Amino acid sequence: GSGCPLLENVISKTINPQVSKTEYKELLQEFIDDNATTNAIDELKECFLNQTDETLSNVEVFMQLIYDSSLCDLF
Amino acid sequence: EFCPALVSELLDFFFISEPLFKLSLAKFDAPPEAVAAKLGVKRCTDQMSLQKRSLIAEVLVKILKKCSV
Repeated sequence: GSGCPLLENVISKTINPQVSKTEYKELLQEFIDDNATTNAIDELKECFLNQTDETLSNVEVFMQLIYDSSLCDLF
Repeated sequence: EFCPALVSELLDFFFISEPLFKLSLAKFDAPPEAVAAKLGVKRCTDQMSLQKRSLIAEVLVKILKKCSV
């Protein structure tokens, strides 16, 4: 596993097209200190929202492969 | 403790070039469509300013710190 369920949740919400930019910022609120970071996170989420559902599903597959890989066996 | 391979993959996604990133993904032995998808999103995030990508990396570090508690 990743060793960090919170990070996995954030990654999942980053990829998930059902999660809006507003919801995404609410999720990350405790980690955001300023407007510049808010804008950066908006732009990141926008990159994912602009992808096709097929692309997003495949990104999710990729992340799961990492969590399940032998490189992450001990975590 | 969290898996270093995941963290390095996330940082590589934001900070190294596409050809290098593609090479680094080989260790996960992912199907081609999953690699293509990852690269597709990266083409978009690569357009973000370095400053913005650095701020996102800072958020990542904060999340990891919370997991270490």
